[in-house]
Amino acid sequence: MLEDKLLMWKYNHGGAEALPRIYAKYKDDLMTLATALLYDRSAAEDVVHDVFVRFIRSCGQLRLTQTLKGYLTTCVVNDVRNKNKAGQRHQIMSLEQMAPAASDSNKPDVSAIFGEQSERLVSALRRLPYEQRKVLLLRLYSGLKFKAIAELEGQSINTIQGQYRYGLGKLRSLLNSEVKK
Amino acid sequence: MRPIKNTCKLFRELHVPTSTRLDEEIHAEISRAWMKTKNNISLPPRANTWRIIMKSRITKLAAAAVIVVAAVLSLTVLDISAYAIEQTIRAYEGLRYVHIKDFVDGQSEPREFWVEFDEQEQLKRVRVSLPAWAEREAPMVAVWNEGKLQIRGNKGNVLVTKPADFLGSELLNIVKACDPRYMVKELRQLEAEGELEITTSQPPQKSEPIVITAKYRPPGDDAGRMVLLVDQNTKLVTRAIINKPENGREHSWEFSDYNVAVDERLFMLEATPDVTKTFMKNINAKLASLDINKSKAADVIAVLGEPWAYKFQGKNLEKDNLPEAYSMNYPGGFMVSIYLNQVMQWGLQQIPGDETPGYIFSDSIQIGTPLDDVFEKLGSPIKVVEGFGGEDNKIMYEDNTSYANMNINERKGFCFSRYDNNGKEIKVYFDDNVLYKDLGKIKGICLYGTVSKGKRIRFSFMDNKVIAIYEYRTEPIETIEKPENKT
Repeated sequence: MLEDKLLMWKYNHGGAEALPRIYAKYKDDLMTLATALLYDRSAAEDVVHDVFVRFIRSCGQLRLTQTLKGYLTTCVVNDVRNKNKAGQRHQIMSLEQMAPAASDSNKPDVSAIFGEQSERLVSALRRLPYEQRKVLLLRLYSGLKFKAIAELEGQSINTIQGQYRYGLGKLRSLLNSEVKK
Repeated sequence: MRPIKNTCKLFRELHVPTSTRLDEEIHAEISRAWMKTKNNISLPPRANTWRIIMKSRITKLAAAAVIVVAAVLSLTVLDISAYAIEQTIRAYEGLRYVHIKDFVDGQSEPREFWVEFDEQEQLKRVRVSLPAWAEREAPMVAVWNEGKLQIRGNKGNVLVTKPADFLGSELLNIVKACDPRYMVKELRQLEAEGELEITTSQPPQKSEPIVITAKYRPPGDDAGRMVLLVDQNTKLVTRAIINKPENGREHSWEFSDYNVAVDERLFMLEATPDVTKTFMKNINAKLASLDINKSKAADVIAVLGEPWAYKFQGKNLEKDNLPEAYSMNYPGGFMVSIYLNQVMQWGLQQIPGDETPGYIFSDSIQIGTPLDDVFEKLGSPIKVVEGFGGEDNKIMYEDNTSYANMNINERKGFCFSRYDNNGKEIKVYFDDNVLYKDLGKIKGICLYGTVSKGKRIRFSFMDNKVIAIYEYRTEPIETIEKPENKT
């Protein structure tokens, strides 16, 4: 998009005036992605905060070559991965994956974070393996291409497409079973 | 099984907004980054770029080829003034003023900016007028003056001076994004980097604008398009339009009054009419309770209330750190000049568009009174001097630049100070009872001072109507007194 190109040009040339617009444009998307990956709003805010602070401080020093959205999404996914690696989230995630998706105890949290509209989707996503969930979110929510996801994850495009197919199939079946209930 | 479309729709509905706390933290970070870089951002000098380009052998050959082709073309085609975008970039060199209207599709009223740049092409002063649609609560007017921001509060009753914080930088970002120079330079740069494809169309009629069209390369469904209309005579952009394919909307800007000095009064914030009305109510009675020769700053504040701004030479001052000479500014253009803590003069100058009844002298002379009616009331001048003095008309818009220098004890008249281009102070003396007509050779601008009913009074006229009335002291100031040590 022309606007993104102008914003990127400004950013690459140290034009800090582009920063508020970039933040306003992508903050909610990144926040949603981080929350959907971490299931923890506070931790997601930490990630988004850290990503943007680094991004702002690199203004004029970093030369962006990919799209703005792609770059920022990559940063968020990497930070989430680091958080998980550090073990801060991993245990919780594992426990959550074992928990029944639509258990009463989880319902209020999910709807409180994502709203009632998205509750079913988020509950179903929680039952997917983390890697499949991530690929689905990057493809269907963030709009990244398979090639970009593969580069981001350091895996082959076939692996990513496989994870996407399995994840999508499982997600649909979870959503359908939810409807049948 | 659910169609993929439905699943995608579910994903798109996901939305978790950032918290206010996070927004504030990031804005603070942006503000710091902006403050850090705002003085460092400058475009590289053209000469250097030219030298670098011309170092290349290939470029030299190409340039030589271009010169030959141009020479041949100039012999065969008489029109040697074919337009190039560089002409517009050059035309913007030394730009000092511009008036910008920012139109967003679907909104009838534009955002408006009156901008003054300094010699280094940096923003110096800006007046921002945002209509209600651009603000959540109410229309907003703000003035940025060399690092300080004044905003008319949402309730219209307070004029707030804020430091150059995020709000200020945010406003300036909006203004910068509308700066036609940067639009042109950025498009040129993006074209050079192969990101954009720029085409120009120059109609044979000089009255028709040159059309510059910029498209993202390679063209895609989501590629936007920007069109600039350039005046053939000035080579300056008069209009810019962006089509946004994602919502089919159009965003456009109109640029006018290039290098036409912005009226100084636009860089002063006025209060909303209701606030002015409240302040001006009984202003004559309030002033009558003060003795202009004996009143101190605190006496004035006790009667008129806390001023909304303290100023000197057009700059805002901190209340706790006032110099010897300054002015206390009130709504509706009313002002009290203070020197050594004593009142030098008070009065008001018309705010454009504000017709709130205010200070009335001698029961009948007020803002808008015709010049002839003034003389009918006060008597005719003993002399008329035409085209006096002003190398510029700044003295007509005097605010508080001169009071410290008014030698009220020696003259039968008044004196203004102004500064020449080198910053040297120039005093301009005026005699009482003399009408200085068409001051600075500008038709309808006049000055007249006199003594009436024991009061020294001075009027400024524009279009031969009163635009400013000031009453000033008749007794010498106490020069030994020092300003109060305010805490």
